[in-house]
Amino acid sequence: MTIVAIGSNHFIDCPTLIAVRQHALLRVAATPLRVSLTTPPDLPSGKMVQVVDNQHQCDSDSNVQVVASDKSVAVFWGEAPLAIATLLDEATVSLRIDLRPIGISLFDDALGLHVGDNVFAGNQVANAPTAIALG
Amino acid sequence: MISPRLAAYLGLEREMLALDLAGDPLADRLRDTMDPLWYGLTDEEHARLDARLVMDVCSPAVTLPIGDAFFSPPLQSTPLTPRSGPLYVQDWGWAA
Repeated sequence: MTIVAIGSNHFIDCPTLIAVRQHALLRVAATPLRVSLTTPPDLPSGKMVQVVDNQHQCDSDSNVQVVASDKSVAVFWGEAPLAIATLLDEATVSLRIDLRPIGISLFDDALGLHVGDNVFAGNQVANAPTAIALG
Repeated sequence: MISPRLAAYLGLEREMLALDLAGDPLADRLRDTMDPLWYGLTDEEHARLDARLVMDVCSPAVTLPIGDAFFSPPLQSTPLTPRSGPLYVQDWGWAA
């Protein structure tokens, strides 16, 4: 079982956490810790981030950096962290996310997961191939 | 930025997938009509589409409208200001 905690929400065994218009945006897996952050090809800002299982893909912007260790994976746009995943124990991942530097209004804080003008907070989602579909 | 052809392809693809998910046989006909548009894309656009992690988003636990504010101008960091001496700030709301 893998639990990913984001902004007061728990996602249990949900391989894709967030999808945008049939496009997987954010995926996290534990054992070993892996983060995939892939922006949709029609992103208005044009800031392409293509990181799959901690690996920077060739079509990703040169501003994208991945820093990974056994218990932590971080994806940066320049010096700005976009996603930081930390393995709290072998099944629990704490994830901080802020995609505003690339033109996507999606970030978390103590209140919840902010999506545009909305907030997704205090929810537990389990056993879904995709937890949240935005579209 | 994306070309008008790629934007059109992605828009039609979304509609085709929605029909397919609903079991509507018109999805296949729409897929066929998308072929000329696919062949009209550039090699770079083909590579971009082929590299996607997609199509596993059937039956999501939660579906939310994307909202007008979801795509926004990228936040820019405040540029660094070199200082030769100490900076004293009082009653501050914003220091940059």
